[in-house]
Amino acid sequence: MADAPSTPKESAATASGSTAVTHRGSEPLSSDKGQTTITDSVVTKVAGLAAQEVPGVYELGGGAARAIGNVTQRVGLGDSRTQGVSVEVGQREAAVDLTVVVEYGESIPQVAEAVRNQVIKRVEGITGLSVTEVNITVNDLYFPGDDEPPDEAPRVA
Amino acid sequence: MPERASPAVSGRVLLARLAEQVIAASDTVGATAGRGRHWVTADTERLIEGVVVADTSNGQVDVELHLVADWPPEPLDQLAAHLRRDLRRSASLAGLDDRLGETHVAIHDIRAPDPDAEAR
Repeated sequence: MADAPSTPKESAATASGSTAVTHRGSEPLSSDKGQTTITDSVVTKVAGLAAQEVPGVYELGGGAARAIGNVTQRVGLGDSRTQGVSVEVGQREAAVDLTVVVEYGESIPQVAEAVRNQVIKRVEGITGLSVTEVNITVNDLYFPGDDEPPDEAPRVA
Repeated sequence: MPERASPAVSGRVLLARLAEQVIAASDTVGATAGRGRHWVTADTERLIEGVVVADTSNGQVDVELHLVADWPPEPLDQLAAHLRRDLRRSASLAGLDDRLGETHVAIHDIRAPDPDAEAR
């Protein structure tokens, strides 16, 4: 791993799609003790899990992502907790794009604001990155009963 | 020429074992060898997963811990600091404090409850 940066709180993007966060001058992570690396997938998952903590969020992902996600999850390749989440991670900052399905009856602006606050709180608190923006697309509304199979009573006796 | 390398190798492996114990003792992280299983250290009869040790030019051994953290994790820099401190303490108790170089901590994933499993 590379040498640690020299400013009080510094991050360095690495070629492998990860972010190294080093806090110098404080006891936890001084440069002579080693480096801490946080991969981009960790940031993605933190953002996705944070969004799903907000009441009113039914699930993440657009229609296509959910359809593909359902298939990939069945074969053990997908993860519903990261579908609909895209992050761009820089040296010290991260930007998050989310696509969500909101439960019918919830205030979309209030849910979106709550998601934004929760994602910022979790990502900044856990990774130490500064979140510059959280862009939210509400892709669909969930109605209770959407998951239940249609009642297919015979139309004729 | 294994006889020439044995003192250094034994120190490396012992530090890798200590690192493995530190990870196992934590209730918030687990080790990962990676998809290609390349983050491992060869012990005498097995592989220590999620730990990579490397000799340095000054005779010390740098240790890499490759981890997944449980959701919700504490701030990851604090988590890394705790693990470093625990490994340093273990190395000191084992008389290997002067051999332990830097401890690099890499968080590769977050381990969260699987909602699909819960639904089942």
